[in-house]
Amino acid sequence: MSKRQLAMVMDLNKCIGCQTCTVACKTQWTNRNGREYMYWNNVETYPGTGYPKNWMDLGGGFDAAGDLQPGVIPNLEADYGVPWDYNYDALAGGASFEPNVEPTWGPNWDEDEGDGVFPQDNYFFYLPRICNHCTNPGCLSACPRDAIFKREEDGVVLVDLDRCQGYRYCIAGCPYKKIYFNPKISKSEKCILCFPRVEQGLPPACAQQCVGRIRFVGFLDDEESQVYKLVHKYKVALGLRSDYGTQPNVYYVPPTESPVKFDAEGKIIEGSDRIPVEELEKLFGPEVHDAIKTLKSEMKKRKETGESELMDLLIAYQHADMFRLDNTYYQKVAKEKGLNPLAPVDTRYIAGKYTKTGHSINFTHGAGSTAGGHH
Amino acid sequence: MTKVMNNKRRNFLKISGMTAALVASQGSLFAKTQVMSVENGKDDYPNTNYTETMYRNEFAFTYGKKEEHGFAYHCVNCQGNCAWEVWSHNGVITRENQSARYPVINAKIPDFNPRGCNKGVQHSQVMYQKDRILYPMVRVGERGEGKWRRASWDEAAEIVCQNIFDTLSDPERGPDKLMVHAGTGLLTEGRRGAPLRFSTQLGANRIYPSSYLGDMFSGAAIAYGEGNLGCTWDFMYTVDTAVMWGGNPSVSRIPDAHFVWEGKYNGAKIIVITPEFNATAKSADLWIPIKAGSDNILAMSVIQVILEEKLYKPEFMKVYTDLSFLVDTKTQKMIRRNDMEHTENKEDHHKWDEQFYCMNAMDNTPYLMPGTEGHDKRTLRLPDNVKPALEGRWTITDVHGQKREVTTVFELLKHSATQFSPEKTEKITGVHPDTVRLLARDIAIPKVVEITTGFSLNKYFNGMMTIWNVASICGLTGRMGPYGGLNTENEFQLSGLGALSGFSGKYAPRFGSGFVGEFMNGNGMKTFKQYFNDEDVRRAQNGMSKEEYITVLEEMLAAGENGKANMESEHGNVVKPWWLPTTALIVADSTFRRNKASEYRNAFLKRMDFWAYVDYRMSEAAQYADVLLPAKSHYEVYDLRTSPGYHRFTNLAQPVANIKNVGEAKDEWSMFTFLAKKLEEIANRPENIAKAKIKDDKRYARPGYHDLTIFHKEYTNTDEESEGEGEVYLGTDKMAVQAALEKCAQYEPWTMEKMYKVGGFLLINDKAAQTSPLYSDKPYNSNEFHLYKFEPMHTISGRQTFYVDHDMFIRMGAATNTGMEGIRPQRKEYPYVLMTPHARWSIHSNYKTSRTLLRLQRGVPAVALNRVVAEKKGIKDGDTIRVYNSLGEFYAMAKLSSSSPADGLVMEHGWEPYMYKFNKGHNEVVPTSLNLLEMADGWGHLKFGGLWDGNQYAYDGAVNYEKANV
Repeated sequence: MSKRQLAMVMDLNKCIGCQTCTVACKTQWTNRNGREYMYWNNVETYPGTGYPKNWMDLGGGFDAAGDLQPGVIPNLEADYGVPWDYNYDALAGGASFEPNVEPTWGPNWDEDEGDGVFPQDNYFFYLPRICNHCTNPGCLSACPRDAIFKREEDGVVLVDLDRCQGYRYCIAGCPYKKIYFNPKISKSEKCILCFPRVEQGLPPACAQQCVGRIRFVGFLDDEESQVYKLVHKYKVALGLRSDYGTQPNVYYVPPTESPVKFDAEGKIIEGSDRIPVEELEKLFGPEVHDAIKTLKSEMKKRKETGESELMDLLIAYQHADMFRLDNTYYQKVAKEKGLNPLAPVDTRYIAGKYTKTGHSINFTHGAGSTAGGHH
Repeated sequence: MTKVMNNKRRNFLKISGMTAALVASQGSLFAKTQVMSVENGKDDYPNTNYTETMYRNEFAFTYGKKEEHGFAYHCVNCQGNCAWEVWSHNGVITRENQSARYPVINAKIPDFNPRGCNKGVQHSQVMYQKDRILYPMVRVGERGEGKWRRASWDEAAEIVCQNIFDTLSDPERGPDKLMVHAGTGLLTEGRRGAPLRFSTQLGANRIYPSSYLGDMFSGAAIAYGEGNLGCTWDFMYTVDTAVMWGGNPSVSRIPDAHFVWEGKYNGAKIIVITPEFNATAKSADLWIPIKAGSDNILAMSVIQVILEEKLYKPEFMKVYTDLSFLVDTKTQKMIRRNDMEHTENKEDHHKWDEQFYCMNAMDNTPYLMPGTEGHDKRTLRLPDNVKPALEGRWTITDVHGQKREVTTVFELLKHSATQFSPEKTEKITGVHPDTVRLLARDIAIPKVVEITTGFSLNKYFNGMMTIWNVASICGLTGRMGPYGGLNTENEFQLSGLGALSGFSGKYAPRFGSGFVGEFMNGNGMKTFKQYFNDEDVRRAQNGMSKEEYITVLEEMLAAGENGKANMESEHGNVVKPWWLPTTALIVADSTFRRNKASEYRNAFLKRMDFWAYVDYRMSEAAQYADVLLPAKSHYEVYDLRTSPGYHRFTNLAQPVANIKNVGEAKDEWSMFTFLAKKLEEIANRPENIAKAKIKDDKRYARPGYHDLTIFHKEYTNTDEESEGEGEVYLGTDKMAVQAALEKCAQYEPWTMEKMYKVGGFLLINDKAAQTSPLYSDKPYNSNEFHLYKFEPMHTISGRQTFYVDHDMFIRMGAATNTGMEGIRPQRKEYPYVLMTPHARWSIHSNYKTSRTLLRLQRGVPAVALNRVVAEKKGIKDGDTIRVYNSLGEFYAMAKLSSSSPADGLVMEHGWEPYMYKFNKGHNEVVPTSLNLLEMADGWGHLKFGGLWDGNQYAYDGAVNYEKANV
């Protein structure tokens, strides 16, 4: 088990589906070198087929007994979508603008379509997804080469590209289908939680650049961190499909906000909610009921009294406050490994518990080490 | 798909070696590493370094050196204006990352970071895409045929400037026939100044972009004498109710949408009024699915409820609106001072025409209201002995001794509203009466309510009435300053920037009307006559027949030709002026994309003898140009941008260190300075010098001529006169930025160096305040100066306008707020409305061809169809459909959606026609028309200009669709 776990919380009430995260990730990592078709970060409209297509039906993960489940590897054309290109240089020649392959599927194919009867009860919301950097990763367990690992220092799950042989069992084993085969190097690649940015003081691109301000990043053992408070203190942030048994470390504030429904005459149905709670239960488990209850009651409290620490957290007055990175911690880790510690390129987000106090770090097993403290 | 064997996890690990051997024996890849034993990758993995180093190196490559980073924004008419840090490696841009360093304005209100969106975040990709225009190009084939030869800058400039010189010096043509216009692909305070200065100096004509785009807030201009008003978006966090009327900020106001949802967490109620279910509606408290285009009628019903339930604020109305003003019940004209008193003095007579009365309830006599346009007393404050009556009918005696029955504007409004009870309008709006009443109360009762009107509202024929009616809702409920109000698009005041684009009055721009200009440019009358029938016109123009409409319109158009009637007018503009240029130099404006119906392109190309186009990308317009000049794009230049006023920051563009030029692109200042030099050179040639002083009206050229022999000197302020007056030198983008920082009072005391240091922006100072103070620690919202300081508005009444007694408004039954159905045909063969709102994936046509963004859509133009209706027609998701009406057709991919109404098609706008099958863009089915209310001119504050032009509509075509077999 990793000594600490870096985690992300995404607030689905605030997600506007703009995909700035998707593109930020793309320009940071996947616009090159055989990764062109990959979306380490994607945002899908729910309900919908998702990305890759019908990923929830493709197996992987563990059953109750802890046994790895079989899975299928999505197909590039049918399930991921071909990264089509265009005849840009022909435009000056007066040509029409045409894709080089007919687009039949892509990562955001069912954008904003939703489900239900318009206008009575139709609905949708957005579900942004990255690798969950699971505590018990399906990909890791599935790898016959033992070439997938969790970093000791922050629990980031990485493919060892030195050892990976491109067998692709990991893709079948991941229930979220968040690990991809790179055809150019014949190895698997995946979201790396932007660890090189994080080590140098910049939050992951998808999170720092999220203009809806829905993503919080911090260490789960840092009790001052937003992720700790949302996950453990208020229990309003829940893992996606925890029933897959991988113990995901990306958490979601479920979408509690949707407009009232109309009856057949077009009259408002008082107190109704468009998003069926059974859908949310499917995604976030039975804990979602308590989470919704907490969120609703805190919103009410805020409206009536102007107070609510939970609302303060979710509002996030200052963007920089959404992140608590730990540069001192990473420097210490590097030193212990005999590597050159990296200087921060940015100091705005390194407010984590070790960096703040700058004391020695106690590398004992498990989270919540005694070092550090509150301030 | 590959099925993986169902192995139990423990077995899985055991057989891993065997699997590896199996694959290896098939001649696949071999591991280069030595044998390594891994117990469990979750603990102490022995070989982390290889992978980690690789990704760290990749990050280091994209990040480059911090001190070499540039800053930029992308102001292509999204108006969002966000500070980006541009990363580079060795002079090549790698990616962009929001600067995210805007300071906190108030610790209890969310900050503006990390401002940006999905389009801004990929400019680094687009700028190196192969549709960049790299070199000056000269057409050698037919227009649009795509045959070019590469030219030197010198040769291209020679061709362009010779054409300009020939046009201007030809006594038959002159400045009337030259257009030099910058579109909205370049909305900045630095670079945009270059083509504008060039245009003004030549006396060339240009047209108002917001008008031809259908983005002009004419209804707000009627109400407030100001189209651009509202709030910085952090205000949205503080409201009790936020109404997004026809707006979808989660899609088209991406950088600011978070304030809405954070405001909701803070207790605000969010109401969205749109025909389609969208990204904003999905999280709202109340979504009102209105029938497309009936917004002005719904607004009237809200007014009716406010009046009926007495939810209005009479004391506010008496002071800050014209609702107490007296109107003759017979003529429907307001009582002016000239009606009540006689003067021989001509000047007084003119002033008295803009002085009005209320009935003073204290003594039941008419009282001349202070603060009106013609009144010497510049305040809205009333003496203690004046209590304007809002209701009543009286008989007064006018200057001629005649009895006249008068009443108040408020009485007329109440009368108008009676036709619009929620029960009466339900059929047209599709909104249940209970919902209307709820909406009215949610707007009227809470303390702070902001109503944001979306840009889609002006895309309907009677959209102007929508915004005016919504403004009137705000006026009845006392909404100004801290209490909220109408939010179109706030704009801050910036002074001194005329130093870049202007000439201290020596030359003045030849502005033409945007919507009328394009109507004339594209032979709009032909399309209009072909498409709309008598019934359509009568429905939308208060019963006026098509024939009469055309007669009236043609008369107005004739008066506007070459600005004729305005030149002859003594007291300001009276008509929409237009020109038909035959030579043009157009910058960053995909004109064939945005104009309606395909007739436009034919008419434009037929008339244009020569036209050159400036852009960084191969737009549809570029394909048809005679000469192409390559511009630099947003990361390659120095520039500044403040406007409009979603926030209080001015962003800086400064290129990355040692930037490698893309092709031979030039920034606009360097480019137009180069052209100016060439034009001056041509003018000074012996064969030309005698005709190089171009005569012009004094309105456009104070000396009576434009002297082309000193054109470059005047352009760069190096002529004797400018040197004498100490004008700033101009000539490059960087010089323009320095000049702007020096000249603009709102930028004090900032410098480029300081802007770079803090993260690519500055904070404008309190001089930017327009109608409210710009507090250092509070969001901005308009109209506080009226509310607390009793300052008059820029309206004829000095107050919020509920009454316009222009003859055309009276004739249209619209002297006060009313509801009017649209002009869209209501015929059974074409039962659907085509809605093409502002886009999530592009800013108009900017970024429409982005590979990165198209892969996140359907890759080709797609239309969202109501799932049930489409299925009934046998259409499946992904099918190609043909959308058609009597004007034309286009093809697109069907997207079956639960979010589209049964009677509507929803499609993001901005697609270049060349992106569609057969080059037929969606405007093939969109007619053009002119609303006589927006054509009306020469009244009070409604005189042609940047405030009062009109809108080119986009949603007035009725269509049908079918599965296509192409």
